[in-house]
Amino acid sequence: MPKLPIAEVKEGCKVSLEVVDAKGNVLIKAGTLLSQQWIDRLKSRGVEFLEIEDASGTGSSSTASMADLESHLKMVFMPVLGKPHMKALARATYLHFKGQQPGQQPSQASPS
Amino acid sequence: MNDDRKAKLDKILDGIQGLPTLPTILGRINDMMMDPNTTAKEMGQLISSDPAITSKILRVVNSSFYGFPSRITTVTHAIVILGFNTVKSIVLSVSVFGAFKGASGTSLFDMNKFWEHSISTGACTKIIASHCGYSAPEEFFISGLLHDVGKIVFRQHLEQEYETCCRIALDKKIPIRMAEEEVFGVGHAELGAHLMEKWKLAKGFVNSIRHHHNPGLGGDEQKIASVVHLGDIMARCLNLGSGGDPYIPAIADAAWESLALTEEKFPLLLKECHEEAKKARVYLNFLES
Repeated sequence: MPKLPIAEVKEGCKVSLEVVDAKGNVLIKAGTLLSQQWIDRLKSRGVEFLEIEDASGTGSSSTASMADLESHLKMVFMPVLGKPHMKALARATYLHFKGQQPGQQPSQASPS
Repeated sequence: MNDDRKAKLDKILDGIQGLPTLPTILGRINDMMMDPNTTAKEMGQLISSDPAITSKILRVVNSSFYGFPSRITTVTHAIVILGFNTVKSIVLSVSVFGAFKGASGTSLFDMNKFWEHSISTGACTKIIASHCGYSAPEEFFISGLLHDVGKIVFRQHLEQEYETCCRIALDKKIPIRMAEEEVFGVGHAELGAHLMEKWKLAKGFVNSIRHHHNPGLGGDEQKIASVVHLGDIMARCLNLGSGGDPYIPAIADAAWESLALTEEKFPLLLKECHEEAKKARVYLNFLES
């Protein structure tokens, strides 16, 4: 989830972290698709940086692809897969991310 | 804690000058909360006397984390809607960010990822507390948020030694808490709990942090420590930030039993934790302002 100087933010990017001013006013909500008008308005309010969603749109800082995810989950769960309930948690985690990929539905596949 | 571990912790603390402190207003809030006659207006007036904290509270309560349909403009209004304890938790959260705002990371310990993990653990802890029937799950957010605060104390005050810990964890492929034990003889959980004690936070809260890796040792606070333990695990499963190592701890038997978990609950917990963690990212704003 890159954080970019507002000068580098392009039209069409989606905001991943809302911006609020010192009085608690929400200047822009997370999920807003940026138009040039939005960018100009935020600049005029003194906003210097924006957090932008990554390409997957999951809001996660990694998980570039399912293959990367599967490999990552294998690595982090491997030492504890033999412990009670951890295989089920690993499988649920994999299916959770798989269900979040655009156009994909959870399947019975798992990293374990 | 046995005498040997206490001696090791004391030795570490002797070498640390200037542990972070919290604003004095927190002590006054605590005192007022002990008085059953305190009104929302009185508490609101006290908090409003600190403009910086007031501004931060209003930013939090008006963010999507709470999602109220209309804007809350005064602290008193926030107290009426959210309650004393929740507002106190918000004050504590924003104060902690203030206390550690200057902490810098290294190539082996990324501070931004650390805070993202901490905030996400707060969010996950809140969701788990809600599933476990706690009537005020909001108050658990702060326990999750601060569960690893001992790591920043190590990082800020024993920089070289903590870099060694990170290196050992990476090279040996072990959790960072085990590397801390190797280097310091105590881990971040004990150090963090000690800091919470110095800040005069509630015993249950302190012990939930002390025992978040071993909730079975939590005594009367076993269930609370179990909630934080599972919150940490969920945040790690969801790959939200980094606590300094990538490994997912096994769920402790004591936590499984005290929280009456079932494996069928995992998908729903992961979904709700992930949604809550995304909303809680608004707290990242306080690292910069």
